[in-house]
Amino acid sequence: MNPWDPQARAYAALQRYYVLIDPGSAENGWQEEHRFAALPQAQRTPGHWYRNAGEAGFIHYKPDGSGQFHETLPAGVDPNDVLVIPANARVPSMFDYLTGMLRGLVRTETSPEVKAMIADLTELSSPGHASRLAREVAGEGAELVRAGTDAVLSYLDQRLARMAGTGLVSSKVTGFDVAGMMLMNAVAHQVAAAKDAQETTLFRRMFDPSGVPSVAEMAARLIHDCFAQGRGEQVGIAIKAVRKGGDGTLQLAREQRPDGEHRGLDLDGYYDALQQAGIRFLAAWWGHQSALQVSTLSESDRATMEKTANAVEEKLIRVKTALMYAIKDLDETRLREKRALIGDFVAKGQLDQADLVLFDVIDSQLFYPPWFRAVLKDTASP
Amino acid sequence: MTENLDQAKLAVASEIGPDIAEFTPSGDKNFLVPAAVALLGGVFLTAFFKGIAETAGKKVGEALVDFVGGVIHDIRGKNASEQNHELENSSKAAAAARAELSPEQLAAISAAVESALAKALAKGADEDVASRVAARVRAEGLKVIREERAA
Repeated sequence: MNPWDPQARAYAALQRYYVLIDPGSAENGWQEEHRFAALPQAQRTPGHWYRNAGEAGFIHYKPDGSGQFHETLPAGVDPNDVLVIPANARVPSMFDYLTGMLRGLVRTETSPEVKAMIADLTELSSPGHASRLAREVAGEGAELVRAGTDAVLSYLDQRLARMAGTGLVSSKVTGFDVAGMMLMNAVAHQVAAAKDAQETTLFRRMFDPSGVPSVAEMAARLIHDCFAQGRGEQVGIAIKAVRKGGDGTLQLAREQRPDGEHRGLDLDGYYDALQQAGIRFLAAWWGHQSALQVSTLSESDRATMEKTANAVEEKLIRVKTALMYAIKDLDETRLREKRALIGDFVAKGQLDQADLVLFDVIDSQLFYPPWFRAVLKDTASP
Repeated sequence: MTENLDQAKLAVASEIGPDIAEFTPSGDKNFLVPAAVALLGGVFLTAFFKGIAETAGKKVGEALVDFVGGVIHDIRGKNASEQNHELENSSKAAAAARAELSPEQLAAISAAVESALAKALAKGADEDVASRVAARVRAEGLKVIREERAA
């Protein structure tokens, strides 16, 4: 596919979002966007309370444009004022949309390339995908345990690199699969670094395929086993390393200067890096969630983990929202709106308001990288 | 609110950016919060200014950490208008205190307040994030103090 082709860029944007966590999560996000967009314009303005039909929780779209999720409706809010975002069965699934795009892109369903891509998307979206991958990893890893710790660690390194790279791009794995492998790799390295010769038992069980329906569950079991062996501190170090990796990747994504002259492709590079950061936040979140299941955790450790899990989850949500924004702004309608808004504030001398918009879309919501500030403020060029 | 203070608030808010949840209660789910983050940037700046003005080298170590942490706690309990009022007053007080200090004293005191702010923030947030934000608060706070004095 030609990356300059707008259709190819559109496919890449959707696929990037589709695999960020897993197809189920992507479909939910996709449906929510369409359901919200189906509300009358007057109901999509700040100041409203919402709930999704058939789902728990409430969303406050505050008058200042910010939003907050509440598990229960706060006192003082009239339940009759809550708008219900209806379920909308008429929206095509993201899977159908993606495969339809692929067919349109190549213009022939008999192309081997498009057939393979559709087959990969189909497998990824199937209920058996996660367990198939878990069995594959377990089978490959189990053979290496006898070869020693170095062989196991080398396998995990290589498998992770493959999954996080070509695996994601070609829709052979989900971000959740990668996150699971990332955690297993980080914890295994910490366990091996202890050099107490007890890692073989842990590694053998790590690659036991029974009772674990996914790579992420393999990681969760490993974390539980580590705590049972008194290695909770090593788990904490491993999760922290993954989380720091996410922060570092996010920072790199934001600092990366464009090396081309195609605004869209340069932004694609930013969103690709954002996806990688998001998967690290997902891995850290899953690591904390897994550790929080350990009953012997101290209250203090539990409180710290809950706090950190919440912080990384928020960053993951921001990444997910930004990747959805990239999809919605492929035609640059939103970019033009933001530039018009900023230009309007500047013309009125309301520079603080213009700066607030820039802060919002660049630093808070991560919709654009910092280098894009100049593009947003430049209202002269198209 | 002066333009300098507005810019400083926003600069600190930019540093907080997607790390906002490090500074909010665990149960809160925040998204799309530009105004709230800007306000939080102002709270941290107020703590810095009060650290400069009211301690001026008199409080050190854990006492300074407790003082800065206490200011943050108190200010966050106020409404937006009160928070902005506190920010303005504290920046003026810090600029006045700065007039009594040599550049070396200001550098030493502001470094101590930054360190105390980082430690106070790290009680509920990741250490690296806390240090990074505290460093930005100091940089932006000093800019405001110098500009207030020049004005």
